Amino acid sequence: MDFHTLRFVVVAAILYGVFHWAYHQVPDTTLRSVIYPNLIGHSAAKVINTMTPERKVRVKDNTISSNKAVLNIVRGCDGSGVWFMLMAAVLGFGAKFKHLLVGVVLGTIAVYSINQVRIIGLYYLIEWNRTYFPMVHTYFAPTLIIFLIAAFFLWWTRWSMQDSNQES
Amino acid sequence: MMNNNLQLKLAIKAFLIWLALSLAGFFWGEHLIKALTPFYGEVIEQIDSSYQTHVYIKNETEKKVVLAATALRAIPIVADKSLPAGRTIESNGTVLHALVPLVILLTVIIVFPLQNSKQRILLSVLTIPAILLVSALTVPLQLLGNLEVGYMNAVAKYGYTKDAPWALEWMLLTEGGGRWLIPVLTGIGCGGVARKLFV
Repeated sequence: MDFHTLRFVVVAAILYGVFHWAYHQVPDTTLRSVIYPNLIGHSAAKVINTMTPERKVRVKDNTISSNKAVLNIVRGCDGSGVWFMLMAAVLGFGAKFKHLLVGVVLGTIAVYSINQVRIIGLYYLIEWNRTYFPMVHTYFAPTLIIFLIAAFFLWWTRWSMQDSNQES
Repeated sequence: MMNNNLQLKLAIKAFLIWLALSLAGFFWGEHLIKALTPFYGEVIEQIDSSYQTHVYIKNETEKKVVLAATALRAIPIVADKSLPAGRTIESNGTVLHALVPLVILLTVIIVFPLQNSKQRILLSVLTIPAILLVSALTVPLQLLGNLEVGYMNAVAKYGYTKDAPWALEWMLLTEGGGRWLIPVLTGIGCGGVARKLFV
């Protein structure tokens, strides 16, 4: 393994550990009553109510509910794990500050958007047939999200390297 | 330098491999996990020698990996309560959940860009220890962590508190997303080794 790869693996693993530790310092009640409804719940409900107004979806704390389905957002279902992973990878890559900033901002938007699509998709899935929920929630969705984030990371690293080469 | 066309090709290839592995795992992954159950048991016994373990697959609505852990000596819970020696307690996780890190690892390994067939052969050989490493760091500790959750709940029921043991802390780390990071980094590490050894 070359030095750059080794440094990347070690730095990313350490950063992930730091992010994970910091995340677990946030109390469950703060996540449930402040962060999840405001950052995830209301915007997901707005999309669902816009696409299907008859659902009349409501948000209370970490719960998105209608007469047809109830979805609870719990610790770990907020996209934090994927975001920590991507940020650890972006910061560990050792790019220039400008490229780092682009990676952090676009990466955050990408993870947030993908997770919102996942949340909305899971709501409709529960509504349609909740027997498929465990399979999609624990198996297909996580691996697909990792693939999408890896694709973003690949694009970002290539862009960062090309841009650096053009500048020099 | 990889151009945009190559990037797109790599992304499409990765997507198709992910899809194929996910479907294969969904339909036949139980066999792989079943083959790994003695290894899971061995890892658990190495980590915590208080138990004799039996890890098996249980067919319920969802297929589950079950850890049946028999206490080899009395395990204290609170001051005057303990789990008696010989008592068996269980914890479980789903087979699909156990497959997630392996699908990610194999996708990374298959997609990892290499320059020659020697590198590909070496990476193929490294896949077996990589599967064992990723498996050892995820499923056994999840099962052990779930046992610890049972102890923590029992302690709380008696009105006491207990520091979370490291197996539980590790389970929280992996369940929070670490079980995705571990196979990604292991796959990249294996690819890096293959590249370095056969330039």
